Amino acid sequence: MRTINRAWALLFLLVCYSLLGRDYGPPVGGKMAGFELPDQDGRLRNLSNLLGPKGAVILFYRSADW
Amino acid sequence: MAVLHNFAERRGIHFPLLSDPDSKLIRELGILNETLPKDSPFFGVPYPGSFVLDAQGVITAKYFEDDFRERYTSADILTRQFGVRPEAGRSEVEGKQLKLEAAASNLVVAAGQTLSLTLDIEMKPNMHVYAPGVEGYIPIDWKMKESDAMAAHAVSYPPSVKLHLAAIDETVPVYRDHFQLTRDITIGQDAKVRPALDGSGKFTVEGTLRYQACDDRVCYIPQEIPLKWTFQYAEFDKQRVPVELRRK
Repeated sequence: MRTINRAWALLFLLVCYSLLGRDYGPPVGGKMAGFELPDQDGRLRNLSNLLGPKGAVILFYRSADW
Repeated sequence: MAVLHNFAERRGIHFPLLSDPDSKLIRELGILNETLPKDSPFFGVPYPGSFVLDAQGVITAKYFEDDFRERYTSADILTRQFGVRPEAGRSEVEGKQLKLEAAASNLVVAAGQTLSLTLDIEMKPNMHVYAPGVEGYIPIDWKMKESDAMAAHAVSYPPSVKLHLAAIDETVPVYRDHFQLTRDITIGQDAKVRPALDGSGKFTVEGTLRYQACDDRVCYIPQEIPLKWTFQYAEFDKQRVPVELRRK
């Protein structure tokens, strides 16, 4: 009985997931992964030195030359 | 990095543009676009989108699109996330019971961009309109005319005020004084927008705002205000970096 319930619950979650569309990256409320990457002038930048008093917006883009 | 340097110079960009050479961070975040074949020269690109972070690095909002050809404009995120009032292209309509200012986060738009439209509404003294969900009255309703050039998303309504009408001893959800309605629209793909362009490369989207206004004694005849936004259509930036810097 319990297995059947679980199977239904899983199916329900799968249906919800497909209806809501896919989720990208860590959830809202989660912490951004740490990183250290070079900027356009070759300087290494990391998450903590990019965060200002109001935080930051990090935009992921496919390419600057397509 | 050379590509980013060239791009930043060409476009006058001063904020940091980071490169993620082996898509390490992209993979770690789980936003690697796996629909591309592994041997494609473009394999390693992320799904395009933005994370909004607070000062501690906690994610407070995400803006990702399912369709890789669609993007949120940065002005849309400023309007939605930070309540920045769009200054450009405001047009004012003075109605009998309210004053309305229509604006858009962007006036120059490209195919696939998602931007926000706003209506700033100022009720005249003692007047109110009904919020969605009201029973027995006509709620405020913002409709967009169907168009190939764009798809309209749902309206975002602010929290309403509960108003007690003493004369009939009823409590109803209303808006008074100043309130703002916003909604996103996504510009269609190039082939859909072109037919809508006029001779100077502009196109217009239209809608209506319907409402019934009341004061503490009388309800007035329902009104319909026509709404209009005109955009300049922007071609894609097809300029590339010098040949020697391009990815092979």
